[in-house]
Amino acid sequence: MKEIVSPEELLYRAVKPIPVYWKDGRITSALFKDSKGVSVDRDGGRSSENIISNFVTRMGDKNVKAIAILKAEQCFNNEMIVIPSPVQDNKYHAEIHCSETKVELSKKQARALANCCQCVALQDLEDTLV
Amino acid sequence: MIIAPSALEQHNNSSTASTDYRSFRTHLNKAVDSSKNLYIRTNYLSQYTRKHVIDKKKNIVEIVTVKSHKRIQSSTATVEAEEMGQLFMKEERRKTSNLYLLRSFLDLEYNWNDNGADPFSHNLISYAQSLVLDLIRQPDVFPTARQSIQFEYENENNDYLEIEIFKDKMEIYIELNGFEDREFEIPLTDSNKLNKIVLDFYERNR
Repeated sequence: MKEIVSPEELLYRAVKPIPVYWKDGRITSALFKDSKGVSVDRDGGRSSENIISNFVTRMGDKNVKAIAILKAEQCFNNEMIVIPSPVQDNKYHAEIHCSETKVELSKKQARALANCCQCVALQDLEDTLV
Repeated sequence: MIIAPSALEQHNNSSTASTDYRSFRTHLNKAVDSSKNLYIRTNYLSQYTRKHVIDKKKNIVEIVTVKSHKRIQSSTATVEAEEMGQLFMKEERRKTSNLYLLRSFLDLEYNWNDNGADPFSHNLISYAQSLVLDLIRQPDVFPTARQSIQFEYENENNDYLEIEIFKDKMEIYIELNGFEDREFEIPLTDSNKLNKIVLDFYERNR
């Protein structure tokens, strides 16, 4: 894996069934608000099917409602940085940060990611009351 | 105090179902004769025409119709009034749904997002529920992994209003036309400003 994330790389973020992070089939910016950094998986040259299968294997098929997919370029265009941070069971793990010195994304950045990501639904994206 | 939505539903159901004919007339006369705006009148008319057309005698429906035609100035106002009544009832249903949803956030345990997110405090959820009760137009409600609750609105122009509620402040973010944006904070004690912010956001289209 390259140490620097290139703009053309695709980044994948799992959407769990609970809590509900979508409305009318669209992802909310709340999905990208995390005080510890926005966790994503880099594509690492893998196919989308391979990546999604990996998510399901790691998290369980009932724990993955959808996958949000975005290009690293879309992060860079909104002044975010993507930091590779491989972990023991996932060498493709990375985090999206607001900047070099700040972890939490700004509202504008979170909204930009929600607007530009594509969503692959693994289960029906129905609005459900918890 | 966390509001249990079942209690709210019981109150709503009992307040309309148990009204007898005399109090029904009293409410109707007050609503139509009052100097309040059409929105409030519509609320009473819509509630009682719906609840009582089946439960009460047929002549009551006729009385409602006659009264409404006498008191409402314009013939088109009757249609508008009915539409506003439907909007009001829709928002009330969404309000109950949002109260349930906020209550469910208390079930999110530590690490609910698989990235070490903390559970939500009762105080924050209780405060968010109080805002939901006060808001005339209901938002879409979401939790975040940074100890806040997010209220969202979008209008027909794809303008976007976001209210993020933290334990010590509220942050407002507005995006217009997909390009212009502004952001500001208001203290928790200024919750009465929220209805104005939301109504101004929707009025922008008119």
